Amino acid sequence: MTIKTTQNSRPSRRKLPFVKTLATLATAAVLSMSQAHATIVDIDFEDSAFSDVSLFVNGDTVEYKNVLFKTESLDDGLSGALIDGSDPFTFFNLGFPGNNISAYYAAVNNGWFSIQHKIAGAGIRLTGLDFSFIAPLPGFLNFTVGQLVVAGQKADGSFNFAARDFAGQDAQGNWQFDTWNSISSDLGGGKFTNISVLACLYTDTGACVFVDNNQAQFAVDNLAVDVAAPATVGLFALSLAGLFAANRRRQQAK
Amino acid sequence: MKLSQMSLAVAAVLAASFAAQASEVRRPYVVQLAAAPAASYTGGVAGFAATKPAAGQKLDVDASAVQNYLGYLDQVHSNVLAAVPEVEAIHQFNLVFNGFTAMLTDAEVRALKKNSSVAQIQVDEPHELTTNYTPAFLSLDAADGIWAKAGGQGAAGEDIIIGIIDSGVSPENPAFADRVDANGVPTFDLGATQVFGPAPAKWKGECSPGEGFSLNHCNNKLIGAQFFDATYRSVVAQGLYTPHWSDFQSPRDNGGHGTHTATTAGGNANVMSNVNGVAMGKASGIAPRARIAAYKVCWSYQDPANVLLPRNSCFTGDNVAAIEKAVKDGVDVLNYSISGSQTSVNDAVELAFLGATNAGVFVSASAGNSGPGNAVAHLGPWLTTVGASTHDRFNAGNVILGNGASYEGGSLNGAALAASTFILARDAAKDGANLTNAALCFGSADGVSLLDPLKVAGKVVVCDRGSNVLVNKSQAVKETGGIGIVIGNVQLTNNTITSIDHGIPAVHIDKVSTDAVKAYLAAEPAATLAMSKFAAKKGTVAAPVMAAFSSRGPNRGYPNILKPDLTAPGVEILAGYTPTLNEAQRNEVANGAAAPAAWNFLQGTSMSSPHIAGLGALLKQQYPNWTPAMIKSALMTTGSMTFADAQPGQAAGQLPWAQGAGHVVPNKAAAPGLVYDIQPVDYTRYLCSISLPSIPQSTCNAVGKISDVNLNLPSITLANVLGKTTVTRTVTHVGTGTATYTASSSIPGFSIDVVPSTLTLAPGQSASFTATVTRTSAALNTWAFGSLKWTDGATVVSVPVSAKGTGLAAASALYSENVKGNILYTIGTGFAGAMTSQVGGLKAATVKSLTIGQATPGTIETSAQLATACLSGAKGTVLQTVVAPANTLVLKAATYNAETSGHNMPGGDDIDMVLMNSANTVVATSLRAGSDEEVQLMTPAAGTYKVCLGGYGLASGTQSDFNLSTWAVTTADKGGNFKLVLPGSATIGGSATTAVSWSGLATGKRYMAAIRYIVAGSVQGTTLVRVETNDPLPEVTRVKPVVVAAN
Repeated sequence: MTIKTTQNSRPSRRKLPFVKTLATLATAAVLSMSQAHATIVDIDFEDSAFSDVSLFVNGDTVEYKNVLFKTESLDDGLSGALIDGSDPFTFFNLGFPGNNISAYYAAVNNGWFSIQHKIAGAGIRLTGLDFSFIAPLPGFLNFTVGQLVVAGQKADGSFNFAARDFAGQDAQGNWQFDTWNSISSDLGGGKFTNISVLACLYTDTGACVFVDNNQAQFAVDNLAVDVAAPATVGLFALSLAGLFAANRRRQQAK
Repeated sequence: MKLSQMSLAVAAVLAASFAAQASEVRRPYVVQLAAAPAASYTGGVAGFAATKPAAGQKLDVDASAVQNYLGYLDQVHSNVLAAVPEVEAIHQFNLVFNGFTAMLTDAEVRALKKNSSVAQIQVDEPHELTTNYTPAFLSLDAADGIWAKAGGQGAAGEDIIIGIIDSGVSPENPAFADRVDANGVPTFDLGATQVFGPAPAKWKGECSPGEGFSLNHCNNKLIGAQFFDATYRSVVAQGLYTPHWSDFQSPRDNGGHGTHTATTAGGNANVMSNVNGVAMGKASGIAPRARIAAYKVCWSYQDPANVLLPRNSCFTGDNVAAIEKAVKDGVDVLNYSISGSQTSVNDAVELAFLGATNAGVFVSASAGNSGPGNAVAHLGPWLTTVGASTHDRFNAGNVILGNGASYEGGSLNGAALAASTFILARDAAKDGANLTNAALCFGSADGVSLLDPLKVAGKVVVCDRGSNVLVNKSQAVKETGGIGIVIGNVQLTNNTITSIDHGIPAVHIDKVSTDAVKAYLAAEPAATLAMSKFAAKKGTVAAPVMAAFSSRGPNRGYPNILKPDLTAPGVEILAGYTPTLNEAQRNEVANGAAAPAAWNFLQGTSMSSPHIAGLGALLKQQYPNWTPAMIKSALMTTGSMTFADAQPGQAAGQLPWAQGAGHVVPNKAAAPGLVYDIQPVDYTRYLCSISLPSIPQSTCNAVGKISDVNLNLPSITLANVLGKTTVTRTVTHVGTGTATYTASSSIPGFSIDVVPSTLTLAPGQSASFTATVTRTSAALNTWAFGSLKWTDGATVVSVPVSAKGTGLAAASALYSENVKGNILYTIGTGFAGAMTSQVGGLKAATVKSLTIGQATPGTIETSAQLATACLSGAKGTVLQTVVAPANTLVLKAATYNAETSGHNMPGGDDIDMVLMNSANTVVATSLRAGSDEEVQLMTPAAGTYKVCLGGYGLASGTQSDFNLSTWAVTTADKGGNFKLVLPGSATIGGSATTAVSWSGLATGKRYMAAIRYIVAGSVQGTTLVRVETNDPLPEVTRVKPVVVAAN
């Protein structure tokens, strides 16, 4: 399958992370970290750190067990929401997921999210998550709507991609959460300094494209994030933070 | 354990504990279950095949698949009922509606709310007949006249069964005879010629004997007569209602309404009608050869608020039971001249009619008599909803003044009245009487007698039209010794004239004539006035004109669906009636004595609806394979424009909001050329698209969805043209020979592009087209009206097109019951770029504990009367002020049944409410049954408003302690950490997700917030957010019957 990116004509708009190469963190990329035991953080969105924000816009960041969960968007409007799946009132007229009565995160409009180790530049792996589509309106769509796309950014700034079709709807017309447990291997098995999760929609010709019309909305739950880091990570982190700050100063000075 | 299982278990525990409180007051509810009824079931339950009939076919109840599925539904009912062991179902439904009705305590309602098999619970609300309910004790004097039949001849309606869901049937009326005498006149004489064969084979119904009704009262014309009163009897048993002596526990009509609608739709031809024994000429129903099946659902009871007049209501549970039985019995057509919801199709009666339509039954329903206000009822697109208009026959009589001047008006005077002295009612008022009400001739029937017998005796009285019922005026004159009445119109906007039998000489004249009569009296001390005998004539006033009382659109629940659909005669309709019986005579009839046949003139959308039912029967006879939608299409696309009325603005009679697609033209409807058909599955798809909570999602899974604008109705109504909207329609050629139709269309301020613009169709062939409606010069938020026509040169197939351009489409209201939470909702966007907003709230209600007394019965029937009573400090009223500061987004006041001291007493409290501005003008009204009242103003002008409350009917009979909740939410109000986050960008014709969140609310309160959306500097929509943290009970929303038809 093809993944295309939309060419955004408005210069003021933010770009998708892998369209525009982010500020280089090459220094961090060549740091070799000693291998440690897998330490999995399960981001299940039950923590009040998420529900206290409730509605998310571009840049909103929640720190949860060594992971920075950051809402990103093409615009400054509503881009995410923390959903209580057991609340019958939370969706008014959207086509929403039906098989999750716990808390989960919904990326809406032109929003997506990214995760990073709270120590800038430290590598993480996303090993699995649950995901569902969210439609603008209720009702049945008798076709596969699109894919969830995971973009892992390596320390050298390059990206690896993995994608999987959204599940369909159940007999009640509710969208279904599906579990994706092979993300890490689908991404090539390595660690990433930043992992973005977003949605593309299929066109009539079968291409899955990124859109800016508020329609590629999705929900995620139970992100399993491997945050294992070398024992000396603290020293590395300090130096990385310093490098990153210097890099930003250089950029701002341009 | 999952949460859903846990809540079930909790519900069961709670239900068990509620048994200990069984002495609590029970109220009637409709409990709808989450599975399709048999008429609409398309499969999906393992082991049970689909049961919905194919298009154009009727449901076969005896088929094994149907019986199996009905058995499955019964099992589900049993499981649900087992969880509330104290509850006994009154009715159980599974054919056209899946659910049951029962008397429930508050606790049982809350327990069932949490049961996953329950789709929803609604209050079983009584509905009213949509006509003026004429009191039976009025004596009606002789008159002479004729009402020309508007129906067919010979075999019209042969073997078509019309079901009438109404107040019963008066079986002695020869309109229901199955024999004719030597002159072809219908008769019950057993020696006469039998002209109706046995009931058609499809008929499976029966004749149910009861008080004053025996099996012998049914025959081959009146093939069925049944009654449904289980819900009514349950509320009587609870002490909530007291039956009125005049009714019969049987199919026998009390009040005449059911006999009137039945004889209008399908009464025999050549019936010699009379009013009180005086011949009125021959009358006929629209489909005189049809068979009639009567289903009595409306019952008369004592009105504690007005002991002089019995009330008559029809409970939802009994209505649904009748609909279900009628479908099972095999009727082809149903008439329903009974009130209905003005805001929702999520109502058991409305949904049962969907089941009936799916089963192949054509249903005609009355639009309501709350015009010229925007109050059209019966919003289901499967129904044919009928407005009322005038016809061109006119019963004329003259007022002849002493100076020789003569003014023609409406009259049924059987004899002339010699020159007599006369007086204006205002000048005949008792000392100290309210002169406005005296001028209107208030009398005992209005609960207060304002005319002075010393001034009235021996004179003709001139009474102003308006406010109270016309026959109440004449009764007031008669009871104070007057010898005649002139009813004079005083407003150009209410200037139709009527000819009603008033029991005394009477002429009803228009405003110009009234002014002249008054001027003459003022100038001439020895003024006299005479009246002529009436004569039937073709009216000089153009007809049809929409009746002022006919409820107007637009559709308040589903703005993209046109309602009413069309109009038909509903003013001064002569048809069968019930005789006037005193209590002793009533008892004789109840014991088997024969009652005389009777006729009467009535008006209301109740009278227009059976005209359409009769026409539906004629079309069903002519085209047996037509679906109900094809019949409706034929009636609508061939309608004609009514003549202009005097109503201003959106109430104007010539707009689709009043006349729908137009006035019915029967001869054209019989050859419509093209029809817009709707398969039953499309109704279900439509309901899936509006997310009706009671439609099982498994059904939606099977059928998908169709947006409201694309439902294949013979009307196009677009309330939110976000730049442009494209709709799809399909037409089917029902004429003979291949024909080529060409489209033409126009609507001011918009362009319409029809693709393809020509269609060549063989007989029976269908073709689809699209119509793209693009806003060009029309102002935003303003309706424009036009049409789309297909013609082959001879036949014109016309549908009304109504469109309103908007910048944004957002939900008007959001709701939650959580102390912390959020709501995500989709808005439609008609602009590109960003938007801004103004927000106020959340703000808890200001709750004030108050006490109100019982008002004098009959004094606070209307909003104007209630307002006047409050301002004068009358007994039984309470006046409170509420301030709207600058920048108020919403002002609201509410009372709740559960917060009245009569809530747990039989009957409960009925408190009413109006809201007045600082100039004492009524700006919002809430006259519901019970005390769930609310008045609300969006963006009110700053100032002090008055909330006026009236003790309409209190359980204690003396007083009620209650809470008044008020809100004035301004942009300065912040609370509950309420936050609105808008989408950052929008596209023309696109959508976006918007959200609100809040936290930290207290339990047990009602909060409100308001949002205004601003696009390019102007407000493009509002949303109210209600958060009720008090686990509220379902609200009663029924408006008390409005007596409008003849005032």
